[in-house]
Amino acid sequence: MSDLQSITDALIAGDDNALTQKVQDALDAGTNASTILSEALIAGMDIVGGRMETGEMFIPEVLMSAMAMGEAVAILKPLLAEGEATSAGKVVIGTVKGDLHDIGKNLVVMMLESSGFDVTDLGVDVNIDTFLTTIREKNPDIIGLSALLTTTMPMMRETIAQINASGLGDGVKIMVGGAPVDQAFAREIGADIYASDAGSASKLAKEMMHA
Amino acid sequence: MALASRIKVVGDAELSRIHEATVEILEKTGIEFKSEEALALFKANGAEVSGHRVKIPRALLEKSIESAPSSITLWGRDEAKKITIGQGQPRTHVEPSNGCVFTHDMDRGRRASTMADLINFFKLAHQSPVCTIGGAIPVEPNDVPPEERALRVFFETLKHTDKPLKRNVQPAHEIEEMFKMYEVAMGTGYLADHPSIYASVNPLSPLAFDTEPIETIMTYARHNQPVTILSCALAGISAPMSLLGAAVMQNAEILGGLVLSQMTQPGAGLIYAPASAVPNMMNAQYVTGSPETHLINIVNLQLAEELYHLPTRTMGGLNDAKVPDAQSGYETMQNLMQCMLGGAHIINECLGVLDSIMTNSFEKFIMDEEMISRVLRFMQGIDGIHTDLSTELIDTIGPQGSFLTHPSTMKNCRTAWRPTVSDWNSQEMWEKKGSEDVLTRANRIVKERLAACPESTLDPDLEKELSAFVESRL
Repeated sequence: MSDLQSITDALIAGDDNALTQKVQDALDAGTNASTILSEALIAGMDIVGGRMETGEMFIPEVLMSAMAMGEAVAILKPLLAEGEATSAGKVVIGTVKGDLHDIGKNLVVMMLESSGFDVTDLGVDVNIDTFLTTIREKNPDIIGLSALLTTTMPMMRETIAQINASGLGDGVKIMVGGAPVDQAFAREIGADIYASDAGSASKLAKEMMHA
Repeated sequence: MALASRIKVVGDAELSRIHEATVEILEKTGIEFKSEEALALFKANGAEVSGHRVKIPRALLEKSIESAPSSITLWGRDEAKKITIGQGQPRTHVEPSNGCVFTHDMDRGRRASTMADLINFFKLAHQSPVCTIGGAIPVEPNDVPPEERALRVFFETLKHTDKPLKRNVQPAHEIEEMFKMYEVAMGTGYLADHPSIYASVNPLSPLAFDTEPIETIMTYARHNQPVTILSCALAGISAPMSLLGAAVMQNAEILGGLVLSQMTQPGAGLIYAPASAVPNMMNAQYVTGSPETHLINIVNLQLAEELYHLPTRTMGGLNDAKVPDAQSGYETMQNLMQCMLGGAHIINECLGVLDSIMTNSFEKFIMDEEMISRVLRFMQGIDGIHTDLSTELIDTIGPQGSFLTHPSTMKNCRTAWRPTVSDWNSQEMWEKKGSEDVLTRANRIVKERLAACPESTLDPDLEKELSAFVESRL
């Protein structure tokens, strides 16, 4: 178990070199890839998420852990069963039409991916048709919509309305976030989840999958 | 790199005009000293003495300015806490508040202060990372008989801090007793080569020194302990309405005290403390929050630092609010910015004080610590990692990239200043944590700090010895 603990420690420290080395060492020593993923890495990201929430870890530190997680998972992926590394759920995410801001949305993507979600990131200025086509193609569990500008908030409402009108919204949860958005607005436009920051986005997404 | 400039109110030419006007006041008008001993000393040094009035000649003034040191080392009982005051000091020194009659807190409101309140203020100051000096009398212990206060307060001072000390005006015999008590703790003869305690001495504006302040100046000088001459003249009441007129007059007063200290003991530490104010002329009462006040005092800081090369001190965190409300915050911050950026070496009346020095608040103490820490950080200017122009990094990240995920950001993200009592949470997180205002958080921090503070900084045997010393003299 001690090699798993040292993997978790390297992940929390955001030390990608040490982490990939330790993951490789564990594999060489015969530890099962699936065990490394669930007991050392995903367990470690849970600790990171908790520390972010309490303020013990700062966002740049969390992101370094998330990036190191990505590198470790890349080593494990060929050894895992199909879809095991992204078994938490499927997400399609983008910044709505008219809005070019993506820093916050990218953080959400990183946090979701490091929590084991399979994320399709459509980028910025995403028109409604692109959302609809991708949803049809990917069949996601969660759709994430981001906006930074107050002027693009109506586009968020419009995007949700079109998703619902197309019938693609059935059984899919819609998550919204971004500086001008709050819980009341999210409820008003028919979103299922409002996340105020990247940490709560991945936490709420996980809760939603287990609900 | 410290800031490239500090606040200056007047230019060099104006500064020498103000100095010359001061020399004229000292030579022609003179200052009154209510002490035969001081008058004899002035006479012996060539000043013209008539009754209590002393006219100080330029030569004596210049010789005295010359002999006063440009920096002072002040020792704490914990020698690691010793500080340099004046030239070469790394940051503004901070002294606890002094002289408040009332104590205020969220739980009990405003009431006459007691020894228990005073001890709690001592404990907060001892633990405070921004406060580099201990002592003073943050609130008057109204429950201790006046004749016992001096020794009992000094005992509690020694018990609750090992930082360098600030004290007040006292008659000579009380000062001698206090120094003896200090040497019970530090060894006989310690003070002669370890300046450890300075006293703040006020002139009786305009242009006079009373007996006890004179005894304080002379007794401290003889024991190689510094004094700080703090003039608190009120423009339009005890000084001219003219801001420069007030600056000239308080300069004359402080320099008058300086001459006395240097005649008593050449080279004795002297901290120049301009702290005059523009009062409320509607009712002719002292107020502290006027934006005009430090136009006077910064002129004097300039004189002391640019012409006289003396350590300086001023009352830096005053306000006229009755409770720790928004007014207390903005007036305090205005005064801190002006005084600290004006280059004062020590600021006092800046930890907890309210209501023009009538009231001391526990919660405001915590808020003031953060305000001072904000200005201290600003004054550090651009240093360390911040001097890197980062062209390579900017090129690496490029348009639309993110610095947030670069290792250099992670490495340094904890070096940035952070608040100790202000709230930086999102609205949601703030609500989740109980929607506390700053006062409520400060109240909680006060309680945590007091609970964590040791009951004594003294070795038990020494504490017994000091206690016996006090009892034997009461």
